[in-house]
Amino acid sequence: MKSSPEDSLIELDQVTRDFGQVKVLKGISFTIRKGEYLAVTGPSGSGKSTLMNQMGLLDMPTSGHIKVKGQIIDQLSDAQVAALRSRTIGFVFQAFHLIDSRTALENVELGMLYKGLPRSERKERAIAALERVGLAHRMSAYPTTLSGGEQQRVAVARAVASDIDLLLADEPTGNLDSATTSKIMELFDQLHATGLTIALITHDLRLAKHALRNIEIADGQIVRDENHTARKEAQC
Amino acid sequence: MLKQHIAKLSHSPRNKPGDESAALDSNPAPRIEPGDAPDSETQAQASIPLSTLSFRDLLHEVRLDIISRPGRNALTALGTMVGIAVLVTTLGLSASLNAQLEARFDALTPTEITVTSTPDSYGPGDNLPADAPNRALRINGTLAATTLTEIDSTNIKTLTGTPGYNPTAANNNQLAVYAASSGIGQVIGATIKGTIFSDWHDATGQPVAVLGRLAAEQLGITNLALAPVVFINSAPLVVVGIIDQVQRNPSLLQAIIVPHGYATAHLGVKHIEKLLVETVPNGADIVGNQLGLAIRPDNPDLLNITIAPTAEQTRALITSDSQTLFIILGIISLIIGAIGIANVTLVSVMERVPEIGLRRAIGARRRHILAQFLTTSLTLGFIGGILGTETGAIITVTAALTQNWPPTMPTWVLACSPLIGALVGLTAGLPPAIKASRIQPTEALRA
Ligand SMILES: Nc1ncnc2c1ncn2[C@@H]1O[C@H](COP(=O)(O)OP(=O)(O)OP(=O)(O)O)[C@@H](O)[C@H]1O
Ligand SMILES: [Mg+2]
Repeated sequence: MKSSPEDSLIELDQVTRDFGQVKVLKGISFTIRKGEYLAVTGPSGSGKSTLMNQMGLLDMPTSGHIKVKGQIIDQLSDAQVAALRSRTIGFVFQAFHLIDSRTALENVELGMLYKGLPRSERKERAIAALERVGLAHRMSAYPTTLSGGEQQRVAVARAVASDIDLLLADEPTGNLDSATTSKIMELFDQLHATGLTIALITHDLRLAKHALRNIEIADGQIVRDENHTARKEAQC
Repeated sequence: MLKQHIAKLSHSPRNKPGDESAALDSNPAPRIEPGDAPDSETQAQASIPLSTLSFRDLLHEVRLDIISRPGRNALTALGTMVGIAVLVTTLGLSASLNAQLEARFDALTPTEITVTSTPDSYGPGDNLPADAPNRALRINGTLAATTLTEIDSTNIKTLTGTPGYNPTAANNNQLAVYAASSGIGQVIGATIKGTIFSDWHDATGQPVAVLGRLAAEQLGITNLALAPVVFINSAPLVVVGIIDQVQRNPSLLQAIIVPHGYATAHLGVKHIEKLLVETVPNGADIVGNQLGLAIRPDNPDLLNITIAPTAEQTRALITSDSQTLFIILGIISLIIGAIGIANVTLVSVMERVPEIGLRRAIGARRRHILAQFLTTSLTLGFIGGILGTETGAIITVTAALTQNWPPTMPTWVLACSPLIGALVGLTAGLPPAIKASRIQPTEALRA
């Protein structure tokens, strides 16, 4: 809380989200700063994914405010929010959401389609991103021929191929076995080590231990917000 | 502290959360909508460059979409293709039929003029001079001319042919006898065995005759090499020709034709009943206008000039009837094709909901989604239109040739059909594309 406002990447201020009568988020406030490695944990149905949609600008709060790099987004048009979202945040989903009819490389390139980059640059960056996630050799493979872990790596490559500020991952290992899960978690750790800000949403407390900061929510409210920098370092 | 500052900034009412299309409902919210308007954001944030999708990238996406589902997209295009093919075929066939009718009507366009004496109080006068055929032939556009006078049957006491041994037998066959000049063969478009008598035969009243085919059969005359003779009122006339077929005046097939000169000299003919003139195609009006003065410069009103009626009105009727029917058929099949495109596109949209959500998450604006689906259906419609045009053209040519019609295809049909296909694709793709563009990313990605 002592860092300067310039470090603030995403700032939630008393964010609530109702679905009809159901109040899913009940006033959530926290700030994600540059370089953080954050895990949001909580039981199923506690509102983690709903919160991720707020942090990822995929959804608008019922009340409260969200600031991205100092800009209050409810002053922006939706087109501007979309542009800000695509430039700032990369998404990784439990279901990968790869396009089966396109190769790994094409899927990663797609992540930059709407960013106004020349095609050649998109390709260069996509190749680099696939190298980063260790999949350079499966570049022209189709998702259906890749293992679940490999598919999720492609999705991570797609998210990080352009210069995003924050990687938002909602249960990224939910569809993966434990061996593959730890590989993906290693990848996240590596990406964080290279300076990427990561927000990991998971119900699995063991995975949350990879992160340096844990926010626990229950019933739409933050019940715990702790830094574990020391413990993490001890583990290493 | 910062939080509190923001919290106090505003508690203005919000739009329905999470709905990027919120401006479509009537909520007068501070947010700008619908989704993509790059205008009116004059605040500091206006410097955010919006997501873009270049036309080239759009086409690339559409191409990948189309080739990634070849079967379904082929089926989609097939619907339009069938519709366009039916339209092109019907228009092409109706054009071909028209061409055929036109050719047939051209053959029927008046080339025939009949000139008679205007009857007056003195009975049928002698207003047609003997040289009327020559006068008619001087007019540009006249192909042939002849006099034609039916000889009163009371003047024909007996009529018999060579094999009928009795030269004085009565005209049992009731055959008509006509007096004509040498142009008769050409005027009636006759196909002749032997020849028609000449001007000299006519002028000098030679005893010769030309028989219609049926008349010749009845008289038992078949072989001109035997120099057959017919006897009229016991006088022998040499048969110089037999008319096999005619294009006009088929009644002459059952008649005997003698030179006008002979008829005046021996068969009591006193005047010319009528003059028949054959003109170049469509020349009847022009020639007809000049005939009166050419034949009777002293008093054209003595002549009654009749041009064979035209078939224009019949043609117009047939043409418009057939075309309307054909076009309705084509449009019906196009509508069916359009419904096909709409359905397939809708299925495609529903299948790709997560992909649409992902595209939105990575920055796509609603208009980008709209453009992608619209361009895809437009392209499929266009491809179907091109294939349908080709198919329709092939069917038209084949069918027309089978019917012996001249294959005819209006250029505008060939030019417009692919565009109509594209338009069908665009229209049919619009509702599902709009649906796709309204899909909310959060819901799409929940799967
Ligand atoms: N679009 C929606 N409409 C209505 N209710 C919703 C909607 N989205 C979420 N909810 C409700 O909000 C609550 C929280 O959902 P959410 O998906 O955020 O939970 P979660 O913490 O991610 O759970 P899980 O660990 O199972 O993914 C649930 O009760 C859910 O039914
Ligand atoms: Mg969830």
